[in-house]
Amino acid sequence: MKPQRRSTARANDFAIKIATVNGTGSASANALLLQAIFRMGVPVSGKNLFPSNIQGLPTWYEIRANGDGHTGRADAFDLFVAMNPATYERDIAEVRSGGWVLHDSSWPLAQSLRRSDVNFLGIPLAKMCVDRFERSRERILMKNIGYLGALTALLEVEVPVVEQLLEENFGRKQALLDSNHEAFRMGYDYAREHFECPLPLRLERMEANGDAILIDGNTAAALGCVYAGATVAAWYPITPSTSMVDAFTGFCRTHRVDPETKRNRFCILQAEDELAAAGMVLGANWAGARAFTATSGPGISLMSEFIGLAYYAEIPSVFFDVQRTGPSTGMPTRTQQGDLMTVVYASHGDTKHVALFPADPKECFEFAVNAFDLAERFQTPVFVVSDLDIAMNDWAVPALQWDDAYRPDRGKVLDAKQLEDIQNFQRYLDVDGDGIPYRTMPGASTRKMPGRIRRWWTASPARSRRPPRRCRSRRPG
Amino acid sequence: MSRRARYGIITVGGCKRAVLEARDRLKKKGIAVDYMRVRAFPFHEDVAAFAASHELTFVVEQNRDAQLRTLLMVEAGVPAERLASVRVYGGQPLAAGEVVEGILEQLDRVTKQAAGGAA
Repeated sequence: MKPQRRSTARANDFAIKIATVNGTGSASANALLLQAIFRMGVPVSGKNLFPSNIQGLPTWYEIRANGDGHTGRADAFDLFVAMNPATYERDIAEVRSGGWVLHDSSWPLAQSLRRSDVNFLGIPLAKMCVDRFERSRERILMKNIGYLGALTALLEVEVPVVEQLLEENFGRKQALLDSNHEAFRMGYDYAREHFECPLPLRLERMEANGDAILIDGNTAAALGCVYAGATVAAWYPITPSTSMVDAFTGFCRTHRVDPETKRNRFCILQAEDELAAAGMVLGANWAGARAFTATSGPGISLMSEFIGLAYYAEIPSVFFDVQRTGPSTGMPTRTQQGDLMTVVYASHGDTKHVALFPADPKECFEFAVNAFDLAERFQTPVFVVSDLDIAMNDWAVPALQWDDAYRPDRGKVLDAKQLEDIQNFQRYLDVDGDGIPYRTMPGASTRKMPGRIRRWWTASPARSRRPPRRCRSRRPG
Repeated sequence: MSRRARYGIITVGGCKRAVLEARDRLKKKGIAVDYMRVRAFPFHEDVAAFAASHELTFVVEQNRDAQLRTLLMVEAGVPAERLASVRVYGGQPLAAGEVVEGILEQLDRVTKQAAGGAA
């Protein structure tokens, strides 16, 4: 049927939801649509709702365009792209009255699924892909680019913008680019021929995005760690924090390899568990590196003992907690803010921690830098507490800013000369009366270091701050 | 932070965009609400001052236990009766409609309580 225009329709104000099967390659097409709308200068957001498995279960992607700049999650959906027969029933039920359902009409849609108050737009995507593409994998993948083409026509996305994106994403392989162009045109031409394009949900170019960029919070936080001078990451994989360490590793391979010797000037330690990862972070920080871990709520639980040690031994350390739903209850791909109490009191009484709560990827970048400075200034664990929504979805945020005059705040650190000049260095003596004693780093003084290290561990008048007896009995010398 | 209205909202983290949109929608319904987002813990003294300067503050967060509200009570000393909890924890990113709905429910509850008390 040909949908009717709403007389009250206005441009740049709609939400669409795309239902696909996990592992069928729809993420690329969905991201391309998000980027195309973004490049048209329209405020937009994308939310990926995915299952906690590798392949085969339903997945959804929501895109909201809003000329007023409201890019939180949409309450209702104007258009549903229904590509997963297993979820047809619930997907079609979710479309707002008067909305649209774009579906694959290669097979007939059961009459029982139809709603009289919704416009159905059928495109034989699977059939057309079988006709045009030979390889089975390509037939599956190109369905996604096919619906991207149809949506481009229906929403009036600027075709040159999409074609440019196809070039950027697939241009390295001509055959792949050709297939994507063909699939895009296939969907676009079919929609133009069979439907009244554009729908009332159309887009119009704006200039609302200024210098904004699209970035996810984990990438931004990893970049913040690089800018802050972090060189060590110790971690154990856990959704939704894993991509942060992946991003940090990628940045380090690009920016932290000695150009002459080709040796890495960074260290990524995938530990046997979160307990070990936290211990490695403390050790690296104690040794003078800027080190962090990235984890989620269950990881924070496991790290709590070492967090307590860091608090009492006054070892700067940075913990990124990307919150998710529940304590390993099968919902690791759902978002929540359930760790607030856990992080601020982590460990076993008599601890209270600094926590930073970013609201978007831009703040993930900024707060990552802040976290290292605060940790060293106050010699204590600092938590950056984001969540799955911020960390794993692409957000449009103002371009990240950086001041090249930045110098890391290492706090009260004595260098070799200062150490030599002090008659009786006491690691936990509150000299300035601000609760922050002076610290040293191993290697700061060469000749006398073994003795200095001994003094670091002992001879403090602040008895409550002394390490437990087991540590003291094992001191060197 | 803004501080002019009878009611306030304190929220945290990724709730920001949905809460700001909800605030716009409430304004269109004639309900003005000031806004504050805590960016760090321990809380700055402005957080307690914000709550003290409003008749009722809605605490919007995405967990079952009202953890931010609890921290505001325990660590900022805000009286429990001045903090109305709006919690959304279905596992999906927060939407403005959920915030509006939660605030209207809390307003309705408080209004009925006040009417009951007066009777």
